[in-house]
Amino acid sequence: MIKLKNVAKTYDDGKTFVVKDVSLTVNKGETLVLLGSSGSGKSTTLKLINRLTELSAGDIEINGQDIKSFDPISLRRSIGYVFQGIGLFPHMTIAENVAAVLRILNYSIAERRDQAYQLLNLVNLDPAKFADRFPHELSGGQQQRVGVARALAADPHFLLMDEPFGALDAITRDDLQAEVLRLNQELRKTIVFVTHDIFEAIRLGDRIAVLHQGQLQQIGTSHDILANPATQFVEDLFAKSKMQCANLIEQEK
Amino acid sequence: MSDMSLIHYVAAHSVELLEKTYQQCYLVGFSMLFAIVIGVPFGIGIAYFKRIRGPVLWFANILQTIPSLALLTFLLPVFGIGAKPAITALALYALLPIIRSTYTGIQSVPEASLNAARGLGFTRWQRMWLVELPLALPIIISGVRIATAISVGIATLAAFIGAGGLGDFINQGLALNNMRLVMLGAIPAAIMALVLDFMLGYIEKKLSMRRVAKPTRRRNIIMIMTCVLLIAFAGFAYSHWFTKHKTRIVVATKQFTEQFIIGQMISQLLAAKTNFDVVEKPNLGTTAIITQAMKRGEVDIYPEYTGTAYLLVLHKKKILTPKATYDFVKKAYAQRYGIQWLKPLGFDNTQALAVRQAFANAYQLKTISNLLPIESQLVIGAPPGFIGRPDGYIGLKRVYHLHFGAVREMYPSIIYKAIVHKKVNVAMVYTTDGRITADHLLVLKDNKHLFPPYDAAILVRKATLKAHPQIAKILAPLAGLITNKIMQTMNYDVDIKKQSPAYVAKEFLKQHHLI
Ligand SMILES: Nc1ncnc2c1ncn2[C@@H]1O[C@H](COP(=O)(O)OP(=O)(O)OP(=O)(O)O)[C@@H](O)[C@H]1O
Ligand SMILES: [Mg+2]
Repeated sequence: MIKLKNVAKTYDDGKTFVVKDVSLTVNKGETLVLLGSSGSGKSTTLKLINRLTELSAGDIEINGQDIKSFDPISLRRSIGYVFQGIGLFPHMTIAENVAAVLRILNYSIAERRDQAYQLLNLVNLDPAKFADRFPHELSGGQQQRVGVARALAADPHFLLMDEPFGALDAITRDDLQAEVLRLNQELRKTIVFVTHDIFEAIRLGDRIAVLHQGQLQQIGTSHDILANPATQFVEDLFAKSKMQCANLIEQEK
Repeated sequence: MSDMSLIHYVAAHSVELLEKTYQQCYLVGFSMLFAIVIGVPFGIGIAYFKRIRGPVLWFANILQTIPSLALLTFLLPVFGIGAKPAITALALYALLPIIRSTYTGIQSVPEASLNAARGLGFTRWQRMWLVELPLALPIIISGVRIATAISVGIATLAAFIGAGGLGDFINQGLALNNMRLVMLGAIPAAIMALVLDFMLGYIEKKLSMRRVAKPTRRRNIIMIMTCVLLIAFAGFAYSHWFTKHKTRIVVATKQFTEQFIIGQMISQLLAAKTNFDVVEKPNLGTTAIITQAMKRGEVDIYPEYTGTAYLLVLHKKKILTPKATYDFVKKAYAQRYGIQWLKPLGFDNTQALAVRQAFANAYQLKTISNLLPIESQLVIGAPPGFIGRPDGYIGLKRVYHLHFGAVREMYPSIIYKAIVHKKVNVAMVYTTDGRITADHLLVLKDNKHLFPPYDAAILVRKATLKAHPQIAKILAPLAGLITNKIMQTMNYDVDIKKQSPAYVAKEFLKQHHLI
């Protein structure tokens, strides 16, 4: 369980807030989608959770413990992170990329290789074919899968995914979304998933939190939000594609 | 000798060539190792800490602008002569390209990779070792490549301070005006630079293709590098061990023919009559370098001239008689430096004016003063600097009131051609030059003692003499034995007939039943 209490972040000593007074809870085994337009503070919120940036105000708890009481390095190692823009290491093979976290946790080479193969299988990449390739030898979609596999390597209970499929074409994205759904049924992780794509949010999210200019507009299931938008912003956001959304929600059930 | 084919020439020198090449590799290898060990952390340092960037780069830049001979001389008081100061100097020169490339390499690491490493929970060290350095490696290697090329070139200069290497051939070749010997050093040095450049270029390419990261290949490279290092260390340890249990006597000389010949006499005599490990350092660049090395006990024996010691080392000005000069330097060296002057060898290599024998006969010339009546028709050929030197034209005007019709400054080797072909009728020469007799020149007597005396004698460290008193006895027969005439002939045999100094020295010693 991840709990944010009155969380705020400012980069300029309080003149402007990138994230402002956000409180929300991500339940165990739940996928919460942070939905918002560019610059709304989604990435920042994720980074606050694993202490890639430090809080300006408020508290964050993980399983009831204040994150400030953790060492940031071990905190990050216990939370899987899929980066906006992937960020695979160009000098490491795919297997080495996937096992990067295991390496810094001092697993043996054999263990690392084993795990990497399993994880590649898990994200539907054939290890025999891909394990020894380098990132530039993979397509964008394949790289994204590797990014997901890498985040899962240390078998973390929590997973932060920052627009992992942002730069992909619709079909590949559909595939990968299906993949994530399948994975999550298998693994039951607690996931915070960032996107600016409403349909992706509806498809993947058990619940959706809508952010606008650093402020939490509404949090709830897609059905609730569509039915009772809390603010004008939320209403406008869904207005354009209301029918499609309703259909999608129907389907996902 | 001169009609020997190139292959024979190389074959005849193959053992030496291998040894010098090994020394060169040793110099370059270790200096690069040190440069990398020091330069890479500094490169990383300035990438992380902006504040030290300016000073570090400034310092490395300054180091590079110091002329190599000057740097080697600066290092002398600290490191002495030999491989140590040479490796230090080479490493210092290599620093700038390595620091720069490391810095550039680390700067060029993509932000995405760094963020990913942070997000995955890499510590700062892990980020550096696993992400930044590997990604920067191709660029770092490109810096190492540049540094290595510089280093191979400068390493040939290291011969000046007795570090050995291919520069020994080059320097001796230049001193003896023997182009083959120069080539024997220069060509392998060039080949070495090309081979190293190719190898590093190959590694750089492989790395930037990100192919080397595969565990198996990486292991191969590490194995090869370990082997190379082990061989180097084994060679080093072996040569150390091999020479440790014998008494080492170092015989040094400066870089010109006559010194090489005398040096050979000394070492051949010692080798024949003792079981010392006689080490020859025939290339020590300047008087200052040898004197320093002698004071530090790194050189035991070398031939010197009274005038050089008197004027250059002791900074005296007043010209004394040859005897008084010898007595003065002998006493001063014994007191100040703990160096013993043995008895003079018999020749003096001083400056002098020479004319063609026929010309002398025609005008009844014997002394410099004799030139005065015909001074207006005289054209003198002299080395560069003659006009401005107190013991050059200025002195001739002051002491002899001699004014030439014309002065032509030219390089020493050309002076002889000029006088033989009557382009000049007076030549500034050195009294032991082999070409004086060969070209039928007459040395005019310095009847007013303008030129300082340069009597040659062998210098030995007092400590060495004390430990091995037999050295003085063994070298004693040489005293007074070598006249100017004999020295001229021997110089001629080496300079013009292209015999080797070792051969000429051996023949001399045999002829006088010394070996
Ligand atoms: N290190 C920083 N210093 C100053 N401002 C920052 C910093 N990082 C982010 N910001 C600002 O914070 C705001 C929110 O950024 P954030 O990355 O959280 O947005 P986002 O919702 O993830 O957007 P996108 O969908 O484009 O990724 C932006 O206006 C951004 O310019
Ligand atoms: Mg973002």
